[in-house]
Amino acid sequence: MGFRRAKRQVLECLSSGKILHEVRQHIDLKNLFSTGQISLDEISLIIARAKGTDYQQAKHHTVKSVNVHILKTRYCGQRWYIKWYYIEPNSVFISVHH
Amino acid sequence: MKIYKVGDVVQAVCHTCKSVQDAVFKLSDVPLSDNSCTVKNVLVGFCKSCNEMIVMPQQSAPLINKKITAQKKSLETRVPAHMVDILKAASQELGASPEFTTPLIKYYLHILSEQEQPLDDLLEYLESDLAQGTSQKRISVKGRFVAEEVSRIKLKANIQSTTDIMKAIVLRINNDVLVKPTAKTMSELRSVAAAFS
Repeated sequence: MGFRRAKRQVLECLSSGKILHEVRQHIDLKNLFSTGQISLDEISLIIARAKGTDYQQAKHHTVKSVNVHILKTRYCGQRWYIKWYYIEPNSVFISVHH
Repeated sequence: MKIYKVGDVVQAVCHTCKSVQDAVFKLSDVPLSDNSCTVKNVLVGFCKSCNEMIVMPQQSAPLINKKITAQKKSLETRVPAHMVDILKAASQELGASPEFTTPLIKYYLHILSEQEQPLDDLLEYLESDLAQGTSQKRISVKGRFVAEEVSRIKLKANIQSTTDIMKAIVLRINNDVLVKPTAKTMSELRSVAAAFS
């Protein structure tokens, strides 16, 4: 899957609220999205403004059949790191921090 | 937003099972990663196979945010007016906006509370002429660790009053940035200011 398709897919999930967050044993305070420190609108804006050069794709380190999408982009003077995967019909966010 | 109920099922990666698994939503008490507290009765998804917590719906984020915000205790002190001027002048000297005064104080609260040596110099600042004057302006600092850091500084500096701690920190900033700046300290503080801007 290329950047454009991944971006369209995650923006659709954000717009329709089909969003989940990966958690393991505790709630990661560094994750600004799962802790409600940034809104759906803000994360949508950051992803919408990202360029193809900000994007990488990798295999999920635990389940190789799952593609993980990674954005390293700048927004409002800060470097953002956003990582998610998609399992129909949800985007599952792994990391959102700056 | 898609709203889930207790008992609803979604699919997500389970790191224990090393596969995509069904996750069943249940209410559970979940700790924060710094173990500072537990968010009670939050909706999270547990792997149907191994019962490990693997996923959380977006609808649970406001509850977590509420808990984190509640932890941010406010520290209010009244100080002589010239102390606020010192903070603004120091921020300007570091190339930051006047809003940097609060992060600057928080930075000092953090490094001083972490310092292993006694903080005897803070008492000396309180004996200086600049520590005197009627308290006319307010300094407000809010943060999850502020109260705890002030308590630690009080012990190390042997100062009882929170206002005196604040005054001493402002005068330490005055010394570090405006009176006797060293290249090392200024470089560190400019990096903090750059990260904030």
